[in-house]
Amino acid sequence: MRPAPVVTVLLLAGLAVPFGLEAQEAPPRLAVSVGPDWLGEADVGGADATLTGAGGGRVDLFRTASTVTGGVGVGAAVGVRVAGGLWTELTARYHSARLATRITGDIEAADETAREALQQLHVDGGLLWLPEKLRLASRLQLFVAGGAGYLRQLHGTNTLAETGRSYYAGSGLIVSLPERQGGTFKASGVRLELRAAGSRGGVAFDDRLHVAPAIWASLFLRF
Amino acid sequence: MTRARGAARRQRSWIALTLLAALLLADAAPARAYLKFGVPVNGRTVTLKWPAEPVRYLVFEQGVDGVSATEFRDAVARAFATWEAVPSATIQYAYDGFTRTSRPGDEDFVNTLGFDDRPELDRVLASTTLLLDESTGELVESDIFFNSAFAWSVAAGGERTRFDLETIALHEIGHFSGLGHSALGETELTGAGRRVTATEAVMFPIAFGPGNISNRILRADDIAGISDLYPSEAFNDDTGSLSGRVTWNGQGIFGAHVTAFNPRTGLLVGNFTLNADGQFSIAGLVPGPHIVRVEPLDDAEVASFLEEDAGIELDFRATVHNRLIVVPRGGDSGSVTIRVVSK
Ligand SMILES: [Zn+2]
Repeated sequence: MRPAPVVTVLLLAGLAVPFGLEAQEAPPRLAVSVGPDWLGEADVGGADATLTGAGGGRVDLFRTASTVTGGVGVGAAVGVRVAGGLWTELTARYHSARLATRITGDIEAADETAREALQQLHVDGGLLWLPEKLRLASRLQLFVAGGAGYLRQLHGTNTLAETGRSYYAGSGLIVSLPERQGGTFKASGVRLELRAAGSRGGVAFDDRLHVAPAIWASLFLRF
Repeated sequence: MTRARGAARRQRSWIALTLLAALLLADAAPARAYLKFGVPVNGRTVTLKWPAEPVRYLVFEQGVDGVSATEFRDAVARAFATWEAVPSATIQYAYDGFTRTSRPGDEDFVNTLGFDDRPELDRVLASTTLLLDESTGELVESDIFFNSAFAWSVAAGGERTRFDLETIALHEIGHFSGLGHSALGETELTGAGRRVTATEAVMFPIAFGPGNISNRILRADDIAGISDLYPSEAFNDDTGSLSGRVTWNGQGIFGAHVTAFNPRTGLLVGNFTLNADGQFSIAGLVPGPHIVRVEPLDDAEVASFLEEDAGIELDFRATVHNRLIVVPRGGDSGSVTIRVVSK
């Protein structure tokens, strides 16, 4: 009968939570964040232009190297608390991006960089974790985040849309502002997030995972 | 199409297209345009093509040293099958047997392929003649002769000192079907003439040397060409085109070679500016962004591609356009203007 006391203790602990919460305001369950999002440059692969050589090998007409640069866009997230410091989030990020292909080694020295505008949307589902261990001070909290979702890129001429997969992993700092009593929201603050933004497919010229650095600064409200 | 001999004779005209041996200077007869031949009919340009399929052909029953008549028939059948296998094109051919009476080049409304001993044509490996009805732009007859003055091979892996019959047949059957020459290739001048260093089209006008079998397979440029002539439904729905103008000091230029490169597929497809406004159009492209490159027609004699006296511009610098041009699915890029400068 040794396990019985352990089970009893756990049940009691579980029952204790609602009573404890009744003593103070319930913690926020919903969060909304919005702010500027900077997305750096990612290599997106690409083939070289080659001809069949007389000796059977390939002869370069020119070589290519392509990148997508997101630049400054906007990001927004809606989060729902799952338990403790764990939240689920739905994030959307939009960038007016640029696809650039550098042409080098042209057989007739016609090297050039060819560019094109893109509209780019990432929609991701993910987790945001704010463990108590990473609380630096009462209003400073470190967090980690990660997720995956959908990427849609529309070429500048609006004539062709391409889709792919989106991934991210990052961490950052939440600075909470002083709490308001009796307002429409329970907490507010600033969230600064550094992340690795991955994508596969879309306008990329190969099927590999491509990663760009990204920084998101947002204001959040918790309800 | 009228077959009345006297009336028809005035309306029919022959086009001869030759494939040249490596190391020899081009002397191909003029062609109206690359990819497709435009035939002026009642003031408008009609694309030259076969009006009905399958296109039937006979084989002239004569072998040469190293290649029997049966081996010849089988090699050309493989080349016909390679064109037929293009999924985005509908062209079909049918073999009707051997002939001993209809020779390649005879104007007899029978399409015939065979050897012919033409030692005086010491630069011509093979030649295709097209007989067309000028009132409709339709093909009436096409013959191909392979010059038995050269050494030929049908060996599976090729033979070092002999030209591969299947390779050369594949090029000539492109003409037989209505295709002109592609300029997707690089050459160098040697003491003896022009040597091909690289190409990415079976329809390049100068052949690789003896023993080379790398052009037994069609490239993107060839596939775009045959599909543009005989398109399947999927071709029109799944591919797109890229069109525009090439200008120099604000004026359009004629005869510039324009290449579209897709960095995702690695495929190259080319065409030419075909009028004084410098307009071009490249069909059969996989949707997506393309790099567009323009260069003068300086890798073979210009007469291999276009009418030599038509004012072909050669003195401009090879140029890559500074924008990626997006080809939509089932549509056109919209006109793009590419400006070039003096060499
Ligand atoms: Zn030819």
